[in-house]
Amino acid sequence: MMKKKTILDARTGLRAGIIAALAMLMLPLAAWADDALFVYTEGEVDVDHGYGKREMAIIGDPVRTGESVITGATGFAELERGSSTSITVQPDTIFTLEQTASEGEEREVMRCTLGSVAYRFQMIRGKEPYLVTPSAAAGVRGTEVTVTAADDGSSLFVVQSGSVEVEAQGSTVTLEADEGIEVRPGEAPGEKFEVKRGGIDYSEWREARREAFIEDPAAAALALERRFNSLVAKVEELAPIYAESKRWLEYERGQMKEIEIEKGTEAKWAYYQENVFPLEVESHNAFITLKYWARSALSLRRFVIGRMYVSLKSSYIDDLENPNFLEFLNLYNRILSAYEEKIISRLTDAELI
Amino acid sequence: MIFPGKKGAALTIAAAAKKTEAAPVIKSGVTLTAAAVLLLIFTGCSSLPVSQRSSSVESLVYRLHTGDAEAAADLTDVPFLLDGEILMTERDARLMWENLKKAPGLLADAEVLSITPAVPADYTKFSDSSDMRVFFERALPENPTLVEIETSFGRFLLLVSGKRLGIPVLAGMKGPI
Repeated sequence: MMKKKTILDARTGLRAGIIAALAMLMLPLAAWADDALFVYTEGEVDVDHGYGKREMAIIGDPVRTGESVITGATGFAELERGSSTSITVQPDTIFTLEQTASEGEEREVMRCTLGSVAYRFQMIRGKEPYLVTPSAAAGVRGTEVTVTAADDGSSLFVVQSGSVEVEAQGSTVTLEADEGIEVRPGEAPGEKFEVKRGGIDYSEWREARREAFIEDPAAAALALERRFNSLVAKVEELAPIYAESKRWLEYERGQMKEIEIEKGTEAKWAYYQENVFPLEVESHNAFITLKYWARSALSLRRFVIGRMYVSLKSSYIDDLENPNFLEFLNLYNRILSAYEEKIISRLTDAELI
Repeated sequence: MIFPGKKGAALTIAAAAKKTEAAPVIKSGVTLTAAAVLLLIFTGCSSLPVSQRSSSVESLVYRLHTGDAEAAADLTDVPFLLDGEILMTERDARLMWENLKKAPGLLADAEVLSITPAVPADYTKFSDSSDMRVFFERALPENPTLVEIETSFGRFLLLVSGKRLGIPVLAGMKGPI
């Protein structure tokens, strides 16, 4: 009889173990299921896999979570995810697939750091994705929307159909079809405006934003610093929450081991389901959310502030003592110090290059 | 591309071969010398990557100086470094060269001071930052080489790599230092 109970214990434990293992396995599988595939490419289109590994994109290639599509001056790409989402990446664009968590669920992030990306979502399974730029984030519902990010970190959202909620610096504006909005870095969304079909020249808008930043680099850097600091604040707010959740998880795992010794395998798995697994999910969500904000800061620092630096340094190469350049340099160094001190430790080497 | 060193050596060898017909006594000695010269040339050419050959590096600097912004951007690899920045797009390279070309004579009379292979520990020469450390540890281009040049704008440090059709390309620049 005793032997039979032990076998039953072992079977129940094994079953629970398999369920738990499958549940954990589902996390990367879910990400895999969300790969986007290239269905068309033209000109220079690369996929950045991280660790400096960059390859030319070929039709049929996947873009996975954490990877970026980088198009050159004449590059253009179309991606599809299943039959419900299509993504068009315009020339001179950096587009990245990422993930975060909100309200206890994983949420996909589509980041347009520079350039222009058009999205068409038909049927969204589960949580709708976040569309992110250096200055704002947007939630979508059955939508066609074009998102453009300029060299100064400003973004433009233009909705063709459906609706989009654009959020920046704690303020949210809802856009309906044929409406658009501009968001400057470090500021709440501006006034929304009506858009006539084909009425916006995105390259012209990008050029105008670029000219504004060249004219007053210190003001542009100051706006970016505000935005950067708000991202740092998010990271600093989430880091202790993640640390606490990790500590609890370790404690509960220790408790689970003791329960196994005292009460057997069945009790252990019951404890796991009730106490450990929810903490594993919580800890995982806290981790990816923390990563999301740290990567947002990295993206702003690398692509927007980096491009500003190269533009100004090369413009002032014969006049490096110019007060305009020196003022920019001072702000630039301040942002870099904050990045090195508060963001780097949240990122892996693979994420840095 | 014809390198001055190669051309000069070829003439010397031809002249040596002509002399051997007129003076058979010294023929074997001259042949040996010519063979040794040839060997030195070929071993020299094959052992050094294109990014570390002074003539190739000088040629790159000359082409960056004489070409327009587009030509210079074509000779610039991405990702590339500017001081402590890692620039990821070809537009960054184009923007940089469009601006640099407005500063007349930036690379005119540039003199190559030194050419040394780049190693991961060299990251501090660009910037003592985590970004630069990771780039030098994980993402250095093929045959990475540090080149110091002196220009009328001051001294610059270039990161050069050698992967495009035997011509080195620019993968980074810091300066004036």
